[in-house]
Order: sequence, then C-alpha cells, then structure tokens
Amino acid sequence: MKKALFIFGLFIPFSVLCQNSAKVIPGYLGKKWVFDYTLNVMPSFITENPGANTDYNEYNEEGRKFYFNTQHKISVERVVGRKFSVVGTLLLSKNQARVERSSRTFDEFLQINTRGYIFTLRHYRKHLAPISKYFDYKIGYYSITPEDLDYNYRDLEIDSVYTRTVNAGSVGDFYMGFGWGNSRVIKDRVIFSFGFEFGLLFGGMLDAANLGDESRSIDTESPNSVTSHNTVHAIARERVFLESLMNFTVRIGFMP
Amino acid sequence: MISRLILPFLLFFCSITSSAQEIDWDNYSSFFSNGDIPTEFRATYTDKYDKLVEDINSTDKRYTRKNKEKEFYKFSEFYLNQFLNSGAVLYGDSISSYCQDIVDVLLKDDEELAQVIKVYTVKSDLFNAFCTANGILFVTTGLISEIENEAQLAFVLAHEIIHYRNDHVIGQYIEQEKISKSKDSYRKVSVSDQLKKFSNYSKDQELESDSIGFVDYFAKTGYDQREAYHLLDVMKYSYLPFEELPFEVGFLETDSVKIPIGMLPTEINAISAEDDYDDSESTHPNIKKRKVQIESLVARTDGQKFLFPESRFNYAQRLARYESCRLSLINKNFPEAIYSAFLLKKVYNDSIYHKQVVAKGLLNAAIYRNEGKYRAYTDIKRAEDVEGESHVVSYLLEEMEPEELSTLAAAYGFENFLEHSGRENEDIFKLSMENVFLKSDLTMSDFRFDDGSSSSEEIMENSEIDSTEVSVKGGWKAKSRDGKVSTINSKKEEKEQMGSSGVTERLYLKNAFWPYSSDSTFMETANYYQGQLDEKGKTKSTSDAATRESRYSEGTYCGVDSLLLINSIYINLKANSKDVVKFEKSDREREDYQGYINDLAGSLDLYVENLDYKAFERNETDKFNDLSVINDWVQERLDIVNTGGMCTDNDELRKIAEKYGVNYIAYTGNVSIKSPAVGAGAHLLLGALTLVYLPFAIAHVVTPDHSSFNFFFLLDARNSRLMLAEYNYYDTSDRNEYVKSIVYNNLLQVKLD
Repeated sequence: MKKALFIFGLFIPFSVLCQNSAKVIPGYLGKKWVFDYTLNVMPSFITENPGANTDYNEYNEEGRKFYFNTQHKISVERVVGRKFSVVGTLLLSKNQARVERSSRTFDEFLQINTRGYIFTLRHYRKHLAPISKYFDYKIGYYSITPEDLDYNYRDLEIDSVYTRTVNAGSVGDFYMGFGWGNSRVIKDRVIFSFGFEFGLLFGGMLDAANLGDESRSIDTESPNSVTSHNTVHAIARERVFLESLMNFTVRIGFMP
Repeated sequence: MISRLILPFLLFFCSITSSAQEIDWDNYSSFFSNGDIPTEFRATYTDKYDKLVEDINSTDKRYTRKNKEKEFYKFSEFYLNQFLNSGAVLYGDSISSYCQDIVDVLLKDDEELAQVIKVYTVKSDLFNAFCTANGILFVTTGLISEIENEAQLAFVLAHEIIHYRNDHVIGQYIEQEKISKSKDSYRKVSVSDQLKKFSNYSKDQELESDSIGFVDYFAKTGYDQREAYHLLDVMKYSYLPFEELPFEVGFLETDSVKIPIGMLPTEINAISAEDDYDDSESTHPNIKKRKVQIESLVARTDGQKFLFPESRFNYAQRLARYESCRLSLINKNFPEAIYSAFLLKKVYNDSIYHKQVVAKGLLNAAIYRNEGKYRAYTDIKRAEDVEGESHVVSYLLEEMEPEELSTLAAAYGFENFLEHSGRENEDIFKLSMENVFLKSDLTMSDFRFDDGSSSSEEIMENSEIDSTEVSVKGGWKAKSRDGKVSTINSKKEEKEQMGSSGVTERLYLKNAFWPYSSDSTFMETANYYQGQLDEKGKTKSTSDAATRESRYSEGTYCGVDSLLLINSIYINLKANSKDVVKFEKSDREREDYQGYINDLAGSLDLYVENLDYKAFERNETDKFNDLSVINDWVQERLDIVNTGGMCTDNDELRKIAEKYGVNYIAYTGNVSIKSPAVGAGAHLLLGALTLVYLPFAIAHVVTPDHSSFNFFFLLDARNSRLMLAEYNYYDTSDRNEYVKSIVYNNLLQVKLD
C-alpha cells in the first residue's frame, strides 16, 4: 500500500508544480484533464485465462481454444506542458495459471487478481498535448493477489479425502514500461486513442527465468509452507509478467 | 470624326473620374481603389470556378478542349484570386478608370468585347501589362510611369486585348502541356529544342497581338500610329528609372555634410540596351523584329497623341511615378528610391515628399550596411551593373563607409524633421540616431558639438565643399530634355572616354552634427542613445536576432484584449499529385479557419475585428483600401524583423488602427501537405523480419505522411513592434482538432499577460 501510494503520489506533485504555470498551458482548447478507460488486450499464447476451457487435454491438445489476455485501466491525465502530460493509472486484471502438485496436475487453476498503480510521463511528439501521437514512459507497482487455492488431499494413512487450501496472500512487484499511441479528439470532448505498450515486472521476470516444471509444484503436504507460498507467488508474478509484456491498447476518454 | 463624336462624352466622363481621389502630393502615401468592390474581388474561388465550369459546359467546344479549359481555370482562378486580394490590385482608381476609357475607345465597334474587358491597376514598378483568360486586363504603375503619351498606352491595351480575344493564354497552357507530355511536334525532340519551339510559339503570339491589335483596334482610333513604334523604344529602356537626368549630389547633402568630388564615380555606366538582341530563348520577340512589323503597318501619321485631356494622362503618370518611388522603398531598392525622389523633385517640383523618401532611403541603406546585409536581403544591384544616371546614387551608397552613410542619414533625417515635423519624420530621425550610436562604430566623441569656444565659420571651414551640380568628366550635365528616350539616344552618340574610378576622398564627419548643437531635441536624442550605448554596448544583428528569437519563442504573452485580424492564408497541398495545391479544399478550409479563430477568441474573451476580402460588402471599399495598406505594412514589418528600419507609412497605419479602435494587428495562416509515406520499403522489411512489427509497418505504408506549418504574428500598430511570432511545424494533418488546438494556443498567448 505504501508503495502504491508512493507511485501514485508522484502524480500529485507533478500536477501541483505545474499548477502555478497552468494558465499558460493550452491543453486542448483549455481543457487539461482527461479521464479515460483503457483496455489492454493481447492474444494469449498460454491458454490459461479465466474461463479457459478446462476440458483441454494437454497430451493430445484437444479442446484448445484461443484467448485474449485483458487488462483494464482507469486513468486520470493532466496536461502539464505544451507537449507533456502526466497520467495516474489504476490497473485491474484477472488471470489464472496452472499450479502442479508434486504427484499430479491440479484440475483447478490458480486465480490471480492484479491491481497496478502506474505513473506515466507522456510526451506528445507531433502536436500539442493531449492530442496526436505520443510516447509513454511508465513506472509502477503491482499488487498481485492469488486467490486461495483449494485442492483435495487424500490421506492414505487414514484413507480419507479432505480439502486443503493454499492461501499465499499478496505479493508485490515493480513495473517499468513504455508505449506509444495516437490520440484523436471527437466533438472537442471525447478522446479516442489506440497504441501499443511494453512492460516489465522485475520480480515476474526473474520468476519466469527460474520456474521449471518441477518448481511449479507445491508441497501438498504443507500447503502453507514458505516453499508453497513462494511457489504460488512466483507462478502468479510470472503470469502477470507475461500478461504485461506486450499489449495493444485502446483508450476512450473524456475531457470535462 | 471619331473625336468629334466621342470627345464631349469623354470630357463628361473625365470630370467625374478625375476627381475620384484628391492626392496630397506633399504627404503622398499611395492611392487607392474607388467605387463599389467588383464581384471578382469578393467572390470566393469556389464560386468563380463553378461559374466558369458552367459557362464552359454550355459552349459547343470539343470535349477535350472543354476539359483542358476546366483544368486551366482550376489553377489559374485560384492564383488570380490570390492576386486580386493581395492588396496590390486596385479598381476604380484614376489609372484604372483612365485605361478603361481608352479600352472603350478601342472597342467602340465591339460592344460585346467592351463589356468583358475590365482594367485594373497593379502597384508594381515592373513595366508590364497582361490580360487573363477571362478578360481582366492588368496595367502596372511601372508601365504608366514610363510611357510618353496616351497613344502608346492605347497600343499596349490593344495588344493585350488580342491576347484575350485570340485565346492566347489558354493556347500557351495547352502548348506547355504538350511539351510536358512530349506530344505532337514536341515528340522525340530534345528539351532545349522543345523550349525553342515553345519560345517561337510564344513569340508568334506576341507578333500576332502587335499586328492584329494595331490593325483591328489601334489604327481605327484617332491615335498617332507612329507611337506604336516609339513605344518599343520606351520598352527597351523601361528597366531604367522613368527619367534620365544627371544626378545632383547636392540633393543628398545637408548643411554640414557635403559629399566631396572624390567620392563620386568618374564615369557613369553606359546604357547597353539594344534593339537586336538574341531572343532565341525568350518568349517575346526582340525590339527590332517588332519595330519592323509595326513600321510596315503604319499607314497614317496625322493622329494625335492624346484623345482625352492631356492633364488626365499627366495626373495618372504622376500618380504612377510617386507610387514607383514608394514601391522602390518597400522593395528595399534604396538607390532607386533615392534617384526616383530626385526625379520627382526635378520633374514635379516636389518639395516635401521626396525628402521623406530620401530620409528613409538613406536610413535603411545605412541600417543594412551596418548589418552587413546590404545586398543579401535587398533588391539592390551592384553599382557596376546599374546603368545610366542612377549609377551615381548606387555608387555612393555602396562606396560610403557605413559610418559615413549612417551620419549622413542622421543629419538628413534631422533636417527633414525640422522642416516637416510629424510623427513619421520624428521616427525616421530617431531611428537614424539609434543606428548611428548603437549599430555603427561611432560615439559622441566622434563628433564636434558647439561648446562656444570656436566660431561657426572656423568650424565649418573644413566641411564646406562645393556642392553645386556635379561636373563629372565628360560633360554629364543635363541637356535640354526632350524625354528620357531622346536623352539616352543622344548620350549614346557621344563616345565618352573616362578615367579610372575609385574613391579618393571621404566624408568629413566631425562637424556633421555641429549645426544642431543648440537644438534641444537633437542633443537630447543624441545623449539618450549615447547613454544606451554606454549601458548596453553596440547591438549588432547577431545578438539582436538572438534576443528577438528568444522573445518570440514559446511562452511569450502579450496581455492583449482586442486585435484586428487581416485575411488569413490557408493552403492545402498534396505531393505527387497533378494539382499539388488542392484549390477547392484550400478555399473551403480558409473559411473554417477564420471561423475557428472567431469562435475560440470569443471563448477567451478576446475581441477580434476581421478584415477579410471575402467578407466585404459591395460598398465597403474603404475597408478594402485599409486592408491593402495593412497588408503592405505587415509584409514590411515581417521582412525587416531582424534588421529594423522603416519604409511604409506608419502614420497611415496608425490612423487605420485608430479607426477600428484597436492597437494590435494579427496575421495568421496554415499550410498543410500530404505526401506518400517515407521509407515504406524499410518498414515493410522490418515488419517481415520481426513479425510483431508487421501490422505497424503495413499501417505506416498505407497511411500517408502529413505535415503542417502554422504561423501567427501579432504587431503593435502604435510603434510597429512585432510582439508575437509563433510559427510551428507539426507532423500532423490539418484535421480540425489539430488546427483548433494551434489556434487556441496562439490566441492564449495573445490574451494572457
């Protein structure tokens, strides 16, 4: 939370500093605030999405379907210079990843909820902010929360089956990225833009490098051990890392 | 017979038209349009073009011919529209009315044609007349100032009428198309041969206009037919000033600044124009060929040089000559302006106006000499290339050291101000003093002022030089004048053998300001600029330009509440297209652009008064004239922003600004160009190699590149200062949101303080 506030808080001093000279910045016909919604979308090359086909057979690849990763962002943009603006963004996404037990694969997927806080410096290269082509420089902090993972455990000694739960809790990760896009104005109020962005989650990047098949397993005997939790966190961060690596963006906003 | 019939009628006309505008010759500030604004000045390009297309479609010409004509009018009407609204074209003025009356005489037997031909005056010092394909005949003030009589003017007009009647303009366009496509006789012919063929085609048209114009119209009037022949001599020497009189160097001197003989050229460049020059690559036949043809056509020698009262011609010519003098200043041809002012004094006994011209000419020449831009930024020829008597002035201005010129300009400027006080002359004087102390290598210590210790006779002893008419070797004193051409021709007969040139004496500057020592205005001004010098040092152009640029860079705010916006420019271009200029789109979007400015100004609480040719009512000629004056003034201010100086009449401008109740004048425009995407191949290759980039590569290739250039200037009418110069390149199209955004930014900087 503190980290989120820190990142998001970058937005405020920038805006305040620029407030003193706010009157001299034209914006778009005097409008310097933009409130928008952005959809990040990218084809998923790993069919591990919410609502993914759980009948998928890994061995003969039957039932494979094609999905898109999606992320949803709500942003507030403030024009702070003739060609610059700052953007504070709240990112929300839901995803899932496979988690393995030491003996066999789970039927369920690990559901991952992500909340990101991103600060963006946007440079409008071709024209006065906030319209025309732009380039983004982003930093942020993600809070990745895997949901509780229930699994059935057969205790051979007592020959009974009962449910165990892995509740690993949230894990954070730092984000850095860049992107570009092209904004248009419709009826002097509505902004529409589309673009592309690349992002890196540092922890997720390391996790993706480290994770092998064996290390995707949790210890079914000790679901809430540190090892199990670390494994779940690593899987979640890796998943979010892959999801954030590259995305098409479509944005629609409003200038009051 | 003809004279008896039409003379009373013409005299009646004369009494109306010649009183159209009373000119104050002493305070000449140009002449203006009169009467209702003709439709062609007010209609939009789109309306005019649509009407022309309708007319063409209703004819029974061949389909291909009709298409060619539509193509031709598509671009010619656009540029004609721009020209009519440039401020240089006048209607209803004395010259236009006079020429129109002459056209009516020429076309007395062809009423239909007489209804079509309309004559307008062009303020230009070029010797020219031309007729458009739709019957608009333009005559320049340069032509009027040179010709000798009305008969010569009538022949010029007859010649131009034939260009229209025989469709020469469209004929040339079609011929040029054939060249560009190597069609018909231009096929399989080298480029130089193509040009020669076209040149011959054009020359044939000119000879046709001469002969048919002479036979069908000119010869049927009461004009002296020999004047058509004499006109060709006038044309031959038209590149020279309107008279050829020996220059009196005393004309430039003041009480205390005398130009020594040793500063004058020992020879004057001979006039080289001949009749029989090589015209193989020219569009017009040489003078000899035209003379031969005309000579063969002259059948009678009993005509008159004037069918209208000669006073009318004299008035029109005087107007044209004063205007030529003014234009020389505006076009930064200072030696020509000064020599023309000398001619005005000699020919018209002008006593006041010529002095202001000389003061401005010397001032501006001194400024440009100090800036080291005497020829780089001006229209001034090298003295060695200037022929005739005006060579003396060119030589002097070139050979004087910048300090000498600056001092002379200041002394002359002050004496002019003393004689004829007024804001304009005061500004000239102060600017010349600023130039002396801040731009040249002079300080107060370089001059002697009256400290009461010596007598004025002793002080002035060294300054006095015989300043009577220059007696240059070879006898260049004025002979009895029969006209410019005869003067030149008789000089050509004299074979002058001159010695070498080269300045052997210099101006004595020390006492230049001595006579003004007791004048408080002069001494206060001198001390003021000396003080500025002590505080800031010399302000040469490099540092000045840097200062100016930083002042005009983004973030300049003016705190202005109201302004006068003159007609804006809007051009839409498409590269790699047959019609590079999208004429109709440009015309349409100009109106939108004007609309954006008014709407956004309203939202910023900024009052904008518009002066736009297309918005004028028929009877708003006063606004049309105001706009012409402002256009000239704005163009000049922008032209000299990095050097300073003054040529146009700031008094006139101030009066206009007061009339509209504003102190600021804005001028803006937008140019956008669409071109095919650059580097398409490289993008596609990159896309093929890195598949992720492929969609972007395809998007890049199919999307054309756009660039826009927008400018906005704000000038203070009270002191001629450029307050805001916002000009920006944007790599975007001219979609309305982009244009509005830029307009808003410009207006915001105007409004905020």
